[in-house]
Amino acid sequence: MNQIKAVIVEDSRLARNELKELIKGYLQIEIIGEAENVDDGYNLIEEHSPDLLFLDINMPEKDGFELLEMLDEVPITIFTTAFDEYAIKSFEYNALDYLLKPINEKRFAKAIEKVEEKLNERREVSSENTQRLTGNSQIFIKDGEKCWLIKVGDISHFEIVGNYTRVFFQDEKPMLYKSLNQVEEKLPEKYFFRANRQQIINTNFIANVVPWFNGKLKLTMANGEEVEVSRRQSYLFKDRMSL
Amino acid sequence: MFNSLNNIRGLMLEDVEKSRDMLTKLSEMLRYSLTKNNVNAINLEEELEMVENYIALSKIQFEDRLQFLKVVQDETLEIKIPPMIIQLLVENATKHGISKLKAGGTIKLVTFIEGQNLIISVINTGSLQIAEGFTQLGLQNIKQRLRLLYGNQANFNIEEINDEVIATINIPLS
Repeated sequence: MNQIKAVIVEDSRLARNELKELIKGYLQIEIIGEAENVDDGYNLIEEHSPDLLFLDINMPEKDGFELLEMLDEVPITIFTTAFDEYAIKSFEYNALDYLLKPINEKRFAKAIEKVEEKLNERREVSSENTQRLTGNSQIFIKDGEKCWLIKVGDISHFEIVGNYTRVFFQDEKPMLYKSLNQVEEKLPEKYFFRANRQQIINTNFIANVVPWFNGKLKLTMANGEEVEVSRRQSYLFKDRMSL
Repeated sequence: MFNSLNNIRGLMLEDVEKSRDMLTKLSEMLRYSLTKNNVNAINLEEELEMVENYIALSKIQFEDRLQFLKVVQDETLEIKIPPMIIQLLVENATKHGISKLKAGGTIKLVTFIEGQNLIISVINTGSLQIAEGFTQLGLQNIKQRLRLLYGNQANFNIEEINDEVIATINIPLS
């Protein structure tokens, strides 16, 4: 039996106890941490990368949905809440399940079954894939009311906007709620290149390269946009693109 | 209510006596809200008992995050008020005030007589967020009930002063 590492994020201590009591019956679930608010929960999850997250919705200052938006890698999530009004929203966040408090034990058992199925699927997939995305991987972007499912290889470039990143493809440029550094770690190194502090470009979309001053390069992208490559990155670029 | 039931389940694991007490308080609250709905007036004292029940139940949810302070003038205890009106204010202060604060805060309940009026104030740590639909709805409800019962004689006011939200009801002594 595979061990399941779980984290509880819930502001009420008694509700956490109650949940732990339910979990006791499942020896395969190991609770590696609990938090009483979103910020503490975020740190806990970033540090331990649990497989499973039990997540309350109403919490002080930030709610459970905001926690999911902050995370780079979202564990399998089971919402636990006393209200049914968030059920639909929880599916937009790809929650695995939605349990109403007080939690029915049979319902809980079913949720754990689903978790195990999902984990098995993931284990199979992850043994086939590497950590990075490939040009053919699809990524899901949601910005405001609009959603896109886009092939990584079709993205022409990424640009820093504050703490977030703007994604450019075709005529669209939605915001991705991740930092440019986080995005860079996931991109296939084969096509994507960090041109400067603000931008990552898809080298397949470069139309033209000209030498610029101070040993820098200037790129013209397929859509006509110009990108200046920092000095350090220009050396790297020449190196990478040479025979 | 469902949070309370869930918290009581959790409380049973550590303190059965207190859990039993909480179940009684929850029952009283339910009975009160079911039976007093179509009553126009009850003694302020009776409403206070419900508020105490509500606070006790909220305290097992928020624990150290919720402090409750009561300054009630004895002369106000026998005054008739519309049921659920203080209860609603305290609920509002909990849901939109205390529950939004990581460190929690204090709810103060003050009642006194001023001239020919009964003043009821519920004060909570926090800030006034007009944008929140539910608060508005709850507060509209209070305003409407006061208008139906007292016409222009009563009034209701909510404001934010120095990181506290102060909700005040002013009812004429008949």
